[in-house]
Amino acid sequence: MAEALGWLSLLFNVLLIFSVVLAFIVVELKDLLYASIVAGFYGLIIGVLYFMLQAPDIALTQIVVGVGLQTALLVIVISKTLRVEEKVSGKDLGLRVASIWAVIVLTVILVFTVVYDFPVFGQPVERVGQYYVENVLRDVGAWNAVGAIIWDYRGYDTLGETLVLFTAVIVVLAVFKHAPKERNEHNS
Amino acid sequence: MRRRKGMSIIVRTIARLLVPIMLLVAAYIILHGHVTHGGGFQGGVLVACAFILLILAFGIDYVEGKVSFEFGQVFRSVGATIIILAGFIGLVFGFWFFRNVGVYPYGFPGEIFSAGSLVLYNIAEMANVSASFLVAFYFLIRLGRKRRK
Repeated sequence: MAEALGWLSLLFNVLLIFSVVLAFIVVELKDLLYASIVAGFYGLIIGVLYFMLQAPDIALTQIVVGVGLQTALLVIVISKTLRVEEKVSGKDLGLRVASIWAVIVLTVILVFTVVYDFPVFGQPVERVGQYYVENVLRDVGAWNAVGAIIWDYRGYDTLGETLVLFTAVIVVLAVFKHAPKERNEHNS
Repeated sequence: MRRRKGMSIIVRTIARLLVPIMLLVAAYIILHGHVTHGGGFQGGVLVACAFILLILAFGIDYVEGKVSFEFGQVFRSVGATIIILAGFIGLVFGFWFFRNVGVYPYGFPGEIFSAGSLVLYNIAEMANVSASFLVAFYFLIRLGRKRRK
């Protein structure tokens, strides 16, 4: 058992490093179409990592959204705009690099000041999750405790999220209502 | 333009094989949302992905001839309305808003007809999510394209 766990943790770490490598490839690729495909693969690996952390609901959401929906959206946007990144002129380059480094350093400092206050891995501070796991069959009668939390214990949150999605599409349609439609091209 | 007519026959055949399987998995995820993992959102996104694959393979004109923009609007509005009306069921039965009462008896845990109104919520959420993304994709694809240099 311990050996199997060792192999699993080794696989987990390998996938973790591989996801970081893929993220660097996504940033560095100049062809944005290839970059979006690699980003979909990166999302798949993140989904597998969630599954190995015993969160299958999140894994399912991550794989469906990160591989399917995100890739399709990015491909549509790339087909409407430019496929290859534009080169930055030399005058702006120094300023951009300096600002990016400033943001990175600031983020690292903030993360390291916060990370000491995190709870130990697998020992959450909030004890309410234990109540959900123990009483979900009596309260709701659903085997899927996550679904019960989403629609019953935290129903108002989900109602809000659903209506946010509903409203967001309305706003998109309203904002781009007067944008030019695609021209009819008869050739080819 | 190639996108109007869809892609090659290889892509069309693969899409013809894959789309029913994707819809079947989506139906499983939605209808068993209260028993196994997943739920309305995941299944709805999967349905939208199946339609995106159809758009990719057969072109947008073909798909929009089958499922129109207006039908998507009506479908997602019906989904959101059902969620809100199902919230009022709890009020009717003497509890608070969004209380999980159910339109049928609670049933035994693990059966497909159990867990109160969770099944109804999941199905309505599928209608809302899938049609919302489908409408957004129709609209984005129809938008004007920027002139290349």
